[in-house]
Amino acid sequence: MVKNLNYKISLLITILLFIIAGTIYFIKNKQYSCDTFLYRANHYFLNENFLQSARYYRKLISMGFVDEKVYINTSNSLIKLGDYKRAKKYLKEALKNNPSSEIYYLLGYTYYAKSQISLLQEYSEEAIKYLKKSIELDAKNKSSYRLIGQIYEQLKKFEHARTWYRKALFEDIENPSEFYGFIAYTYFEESRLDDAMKYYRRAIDYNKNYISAYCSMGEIYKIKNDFDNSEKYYQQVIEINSDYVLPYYKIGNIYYEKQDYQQAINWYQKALKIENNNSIINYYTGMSYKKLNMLAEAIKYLKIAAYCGNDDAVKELRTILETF
Amino acid sequence: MFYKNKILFFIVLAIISLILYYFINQQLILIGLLNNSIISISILFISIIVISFVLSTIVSLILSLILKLYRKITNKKIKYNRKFIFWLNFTIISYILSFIIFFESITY
Repeated sequence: MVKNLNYKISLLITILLFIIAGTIYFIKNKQYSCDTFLYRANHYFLNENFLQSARYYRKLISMGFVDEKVYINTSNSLIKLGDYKRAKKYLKEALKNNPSSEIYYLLGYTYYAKSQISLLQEYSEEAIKYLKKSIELDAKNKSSYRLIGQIYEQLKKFEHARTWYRKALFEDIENPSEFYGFIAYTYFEESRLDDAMKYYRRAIDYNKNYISAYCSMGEIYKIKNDFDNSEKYYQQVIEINSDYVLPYYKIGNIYYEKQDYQQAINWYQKALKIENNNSIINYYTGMSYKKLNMLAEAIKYLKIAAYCGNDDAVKELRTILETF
Repeated sequence: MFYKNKILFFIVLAIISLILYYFINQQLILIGLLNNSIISISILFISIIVISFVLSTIVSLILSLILKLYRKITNKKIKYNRKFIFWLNFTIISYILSFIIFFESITY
């Protein structure tokens, strides 16, 4: 009820505020162009600025711009930002417009990402459901096979994971070496080392530069105490990529276990030339010097390792300083 | 504004906060606690009140200083309702603040 002048003026100003705000909103929206927003959104998306890309893509959708790529990129941006709830909402909207293998894959991925945080199996099951639909629409969708396998690996259902990797291989997908590698990994996780080696070899047959398979072979031979073959595989990795630090460090470890500390140091030094602040390599270099009773050198490397956050190096330094 | 019915002003402000939350939520990805609309609206509502209160206190202080100075210079007494002026400042600043937030949240 309008009682007095103050009340009337207050009401008038408030109503005026709402009218002005509405008018400004209307005028501003008229000025916005879908093309400019699409350009900006894509630019931010390519530069991995997902906060901004999500902002512009969502505005585009609210302006009625219906495009599968926009929905996919919006969801991808939201997934990267950890907003799975909204990502799912946009993907389900996209499904209504145009169901595609990629959208089903992304929905599966969203549930998978959520399962990583919540550790709830129901999300994994939901993810698998969507990934299977993705494969139904595109039998050659490698990412979906891989993700189903990965989910089963996490659930420790290695036989299931292998089934899906084999299905992928059966579909005659491009670059099958990866999938042989994945199968080998499941065997490795089950400690079925011979089966794992069989599949890693197949992976290498398909891709002679498959570094990961060589490294895994090196690791398996090391577990089997076959240091010569282990070193052979790591040497092959160095031949493929001499800037990769892992094989130098692993060969160093082989000599460390063989108690040939001088050789171990030689390999660790090579590794340190590539990554001089690696805490583990510095720690083992220090430990090798310690085994050779070269304490000044040992302390030098252990100090670097400790500085880089290696707790074992701190303990070792204390022991050395207390003893001597 | 709404000097004799202050509760009504706060109801209007709560409605404004709700509308502002809608536009902010369109612009930004609110994560964690802010993802909860009730919490976000409450934060917005309280923030507007607190900021407006602080600013209106400052404005009122400046006004009273100016008046004191005026009195000293002219030796004239000016009578005014302090409470009313403070409330007027507070409500106007709240509206201006809400409008600035609204404008920012619709600008791309």
